[in-house]
Amino acid sequence: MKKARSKKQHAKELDLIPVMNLFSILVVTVISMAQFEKLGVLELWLPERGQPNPAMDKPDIDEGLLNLTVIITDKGVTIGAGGGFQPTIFYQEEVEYRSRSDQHVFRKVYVTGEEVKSPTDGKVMSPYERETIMLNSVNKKDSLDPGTYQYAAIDPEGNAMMDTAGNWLTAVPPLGGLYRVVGDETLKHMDARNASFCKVEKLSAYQEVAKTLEKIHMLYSQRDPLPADVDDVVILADESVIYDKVIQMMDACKSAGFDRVALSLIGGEV
Amino acid sequence: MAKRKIKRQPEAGLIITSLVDVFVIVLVYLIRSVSSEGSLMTSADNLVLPMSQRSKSPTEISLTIIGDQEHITVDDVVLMNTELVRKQDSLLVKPVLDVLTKKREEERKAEVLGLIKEATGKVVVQFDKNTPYDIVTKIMATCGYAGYNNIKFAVSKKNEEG
Repeated sequence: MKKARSKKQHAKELDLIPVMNLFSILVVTVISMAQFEKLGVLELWLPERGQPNPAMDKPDIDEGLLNLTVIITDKGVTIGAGGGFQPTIFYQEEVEYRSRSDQHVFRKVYVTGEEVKSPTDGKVMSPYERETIMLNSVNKKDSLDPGTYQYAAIDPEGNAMMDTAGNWLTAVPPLGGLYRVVGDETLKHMDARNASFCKVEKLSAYQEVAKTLEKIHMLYSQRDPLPADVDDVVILADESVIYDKVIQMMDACKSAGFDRVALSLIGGEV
Repeated sequence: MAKRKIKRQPEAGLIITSLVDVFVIVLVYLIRSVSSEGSLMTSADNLVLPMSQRSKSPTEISLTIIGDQEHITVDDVVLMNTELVRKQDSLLVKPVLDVLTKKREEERKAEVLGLIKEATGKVVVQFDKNTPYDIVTKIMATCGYAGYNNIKFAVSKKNEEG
């Protein structure tokens, strides 16, 4: 009897080339649709232009209003209201530049009117080469005092952490320790995952302003009856102040609970 | 002489299974990061928008003003040099005011004719983050004077997960 010769069959491989073609098309399509930079809008309201009413000799001033104003100058931020002014929050401006010629990144303390040159090629930096502008909060007695930097523990989202009494934490809280951030009244427990991303850094003046404004908002919103301008704040800035500072200050006001932010110019009105 | 036997080597096939795996991972990552809301607004090319944590998603855009290092642009039409705006004393920027007044009139007419529901006077302004506040206030004042009282600043959203 002839022995049947068993022919070893090779398993047929799956033809993945059409799948690859499909995936290549899909990846290109999705990349073309992707929006890598997420854009948002910050709202601002301006009163509508109207005709002056000659019958009204005196403007109707409500004595009960706070008229909260945040004044930004090149040295500090002052919070003012109908009743007076808070002590100025002094800051030192530190700028991170990115040179357009060689993409070199460097930091420098900003001095008004000083020419900044790139350390690599000596090229004079233009104002539009400023990549990040940091306002480091400084403890000062007055404008002549050089002062000392304030430090605080910063959470992974970049917010300075406070203890239960509302003071800045100068060290990362231990595991299980309680902390909170401006704009969020809930106390959080420090966990191992977050603790590894927390660090102690120079405190931003925006955070200091936001903390002060949050206290004001909490006190003011307890009034009975609720004042009409409970959520209103006006940011008053000098004409040389850059737009980024105004936007960051709007952010600080909104995080403190002041949702209706108006802008004005020192020596003018917008 | 014995003929040397040439052993025929089997052709090496391309193993694309691992490549398919990579593509699957890339595709899943991209699909996750693509916003389902779509993009109503696009950032101008030659400017860097400021970052904000408290911004909202844009809902409706009727008019966009862009102020970059060189020009002031209204709805893609270059109107003026940015440096000239900085140098002028008046709060109102004439070329921008003329265009905005015309557009506001058209918006109001469209509302009367029932072509749009409401003439909201909404405007979105995009400024480079290093723009002096002086230029911003002049453009804002011009918008307000032309009847565009609902001003929104375009910003880059900070710390948002896709």
